[in-house]
Amino acid sequence: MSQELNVMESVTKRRPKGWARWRVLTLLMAVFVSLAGLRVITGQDMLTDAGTVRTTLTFAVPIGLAALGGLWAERAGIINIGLEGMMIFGTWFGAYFAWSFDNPWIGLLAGTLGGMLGGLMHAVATVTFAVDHIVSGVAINILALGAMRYMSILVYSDIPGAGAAQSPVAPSFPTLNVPWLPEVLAPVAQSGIFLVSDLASLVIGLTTRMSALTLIAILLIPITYLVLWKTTFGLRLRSVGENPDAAESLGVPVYTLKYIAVVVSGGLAGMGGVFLAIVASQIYQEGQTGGRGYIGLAAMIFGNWRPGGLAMGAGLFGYTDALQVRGGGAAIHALLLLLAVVLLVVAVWQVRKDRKGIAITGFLTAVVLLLWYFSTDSLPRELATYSPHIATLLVLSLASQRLRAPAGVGKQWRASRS
Amino acid sequence: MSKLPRPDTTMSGPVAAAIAVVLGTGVTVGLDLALLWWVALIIGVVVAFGFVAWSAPLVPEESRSGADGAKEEGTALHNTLVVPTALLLAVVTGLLSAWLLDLQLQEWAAALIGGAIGSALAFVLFHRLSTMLALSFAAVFAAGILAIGVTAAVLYFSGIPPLATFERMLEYGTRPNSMVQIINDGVTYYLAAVAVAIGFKMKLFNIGVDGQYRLAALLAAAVGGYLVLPPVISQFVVIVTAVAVGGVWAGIAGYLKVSRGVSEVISTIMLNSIATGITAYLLTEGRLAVEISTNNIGTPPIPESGWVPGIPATFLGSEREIFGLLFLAVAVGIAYWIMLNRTRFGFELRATGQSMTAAEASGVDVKKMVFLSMLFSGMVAGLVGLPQLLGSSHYYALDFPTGIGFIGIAIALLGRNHPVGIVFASLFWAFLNQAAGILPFDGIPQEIAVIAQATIVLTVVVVYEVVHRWGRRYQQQQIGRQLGRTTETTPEPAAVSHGPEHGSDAGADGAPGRSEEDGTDDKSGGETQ
Repeated sequence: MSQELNVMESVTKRRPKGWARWRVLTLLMAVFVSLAGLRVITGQDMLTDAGTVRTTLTFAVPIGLAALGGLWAERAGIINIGLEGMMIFGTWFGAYFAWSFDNPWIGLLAGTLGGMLGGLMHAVATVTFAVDHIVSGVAINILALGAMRYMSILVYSDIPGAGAAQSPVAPSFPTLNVPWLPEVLAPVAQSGIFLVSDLASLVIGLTTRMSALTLIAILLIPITYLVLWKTTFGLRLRSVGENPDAAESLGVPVYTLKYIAVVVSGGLAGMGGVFLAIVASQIYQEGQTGGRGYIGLAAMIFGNWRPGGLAMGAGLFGYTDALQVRGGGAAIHALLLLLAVVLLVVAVWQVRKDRKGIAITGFLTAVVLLLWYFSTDSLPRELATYSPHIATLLVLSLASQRLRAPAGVGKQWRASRS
Repeated sequence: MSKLPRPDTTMSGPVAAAIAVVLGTGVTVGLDLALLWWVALIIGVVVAFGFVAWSAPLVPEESRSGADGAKEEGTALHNTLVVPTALLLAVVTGLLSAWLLDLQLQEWAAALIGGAIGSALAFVLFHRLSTMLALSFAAVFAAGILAIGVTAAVLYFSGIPPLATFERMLEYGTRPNSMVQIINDGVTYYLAAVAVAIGFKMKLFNIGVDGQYRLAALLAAAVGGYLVLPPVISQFVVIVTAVAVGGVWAGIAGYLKVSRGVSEVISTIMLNSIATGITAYLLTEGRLAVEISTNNIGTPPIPESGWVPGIPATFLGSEREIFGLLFLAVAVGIAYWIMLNRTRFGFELRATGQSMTAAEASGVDVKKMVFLSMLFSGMVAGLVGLPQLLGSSHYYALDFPTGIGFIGIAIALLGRNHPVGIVFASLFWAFLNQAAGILPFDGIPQEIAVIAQATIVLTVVVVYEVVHRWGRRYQQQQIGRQLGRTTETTPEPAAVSHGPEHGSDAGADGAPGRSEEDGTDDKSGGETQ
């Protein structure tokens, strides 16, 4: 499904008026229609059913929150590879405080604050001391892992069912349901009609048993957009990430804004951690984050440092994860067909644009994929697990030249007065 | 000590050094009869150092110019920072060498040699330690003290007595068997850190060492296990396979960066995960794996002719063996040093790392450099698993150590990407790991070692940055003042702040008021010594 992005972006060269505004929606619709089509062709109902939608959300939210965290930091010019560590802080503090106060909201608060603590550390190192951003982030990741295990041993040693590697069961967030809508739509969803039943499944998936935190996370995406792109504060924050010298010369408090951005970034990552601990599994487990902080960063780059784009990136990861968890190889196997078709379209498109190298590569890959698709029934489980990573690499290598990072990202900037 | 009267004669450098050594050694041995050996040694080295300081003005100019070439002695910075650092280094080195020798020799002999080494170092360091290098050492010391403080605070607030814990760790970490383990772990960490450092030198973050070494070790183990080859050839083939696999896997990231502009940070992280997937896929029965024991599957064990024999560690008093591939690590370290400092490639690598645009403007093919350094980084990363594979486990199974790539990143940072610095950093890291192994028996979480490690990485990086910035500004002011004195202009122009700094490394930006020679010398002073 990742490949549509590329195709659609090629189409956008013509750019009718107002296209940019609708691009995300159009893309999402195109993805959805192709998935519906794929479901009809291959008969893999799992591709679009309500359960998949719900699971996708569960997997996409932590990645999306981490990606949002990455967005805040990078828009202010700070690379935050410590997102992973900040998520670990979030999982631990979230689970511990939710459990000890028996209230998930206190857990959410504590986890977010824990993430912010990590963000603050990163900010002190990168902003005040102008340490290399990656270096500081890596150190925070190491620190978080060790510190949280240490805390677990201290805190949970006498608690039955908990220990160095996990916490006791934490209370859950309330779930939201829209009354009667699922019952009405259920027959439609089961009818199997192209597009109609898929749409019904989507609605059912979005309206049943949605955790309150999921809703908050989804709302944070438009909120981030509004704050960063529609307010003076956001404009200044982004200016700090693009050209801190210019921003400083205009009187923008560069250090303060960078601090705010990185701390918010940590808080969002921490919130992603809370989601993992409380919503996704109800306990804190060591290694629970499983590199989602890094994937969040990738999703953000994939999404071209934009909230809508990173939501799609997170969705891609969440979707492949969900398919993999629910159905294993068979459903992802079906995606091979889609991928092959998309690559063929790309190849044709590149021929039209007279870039033969890419065209030939795309064509050959498509043929290989088709052969693979028709000669097997299922993808090996181990490889299916990592399909999102392969997809990210593919998408980045196809589209990364069109991506534009904030100009000042990664710079070890010092104010001119010091 | 400079208050003492001095004779009016001059003294040649070697003579002064010899007197210092004799004096230091003599005092050490003499006091050894009355005091504990280490107290005697400290006093001996301090006395030698005092003599060196006292006799310094008598030694002719040419044998005591610092590595910078600039005259630094007598400045405030030199007196407050470089001299104490030199003293501390001399004492510590003397103590360490005496302690190591003590395992082999009689106590007095060890103290004698230790005293001689310390005194000789006192002379060399007092006269030759450059300001920048001293600053680096001072930064590491300061960071170490900070990290110890933080760790102690963490322990204290958890209700665990810090001092007793440290003592216990020190005691356990210096047992003979522990030391063998530390060296063995250190060898592995060293290779990982060098792999990372090659990338770091040109600001290329190879986060993917982890995936590279695991994939390389798996395939190398499979080659060694399935192909039965004559002795030497077998090891050779295994090593070449590992290097090739590591290189290819990192080369993918390098290629993507060069041709498609994909950030190597993201691509190597993705490649790590994909490597995990491929390893899991290949390491199943029916593909590459066979059953090793219950609950464990792995590649078929490499026949004994394909092993690399260990080095017996009887000189440390242990029954265990040190990995034979220690020599491989040493070779890699030397090759890395030569590559950096004695080849055109290394020069271009460092140049690209300091300023990509400047390097490009002076004719460096940056894209080629990015690809090649990524490739080399991956090739070294391929070696990481081999000491373990060929020296100890002989197969790649589910329990093969993971996560060494990330440790390598931390160690490369700690060792400032320097071939010798990384040696100490990796030994230190392995020491903390090993020494903390005793703590669970006392009911103390051994993760305190991880906290200490992470804290020290953070503090080293921060303190190094701060100290370096401060030192560089000081040096500029100093040179500005000297220039002002000679040309009789105001010292102001060179002493003003030099605008925003973007570079982080030593001498990354050619500061105003500093000659070209100074810049390069300072660089080599900071990096090679």
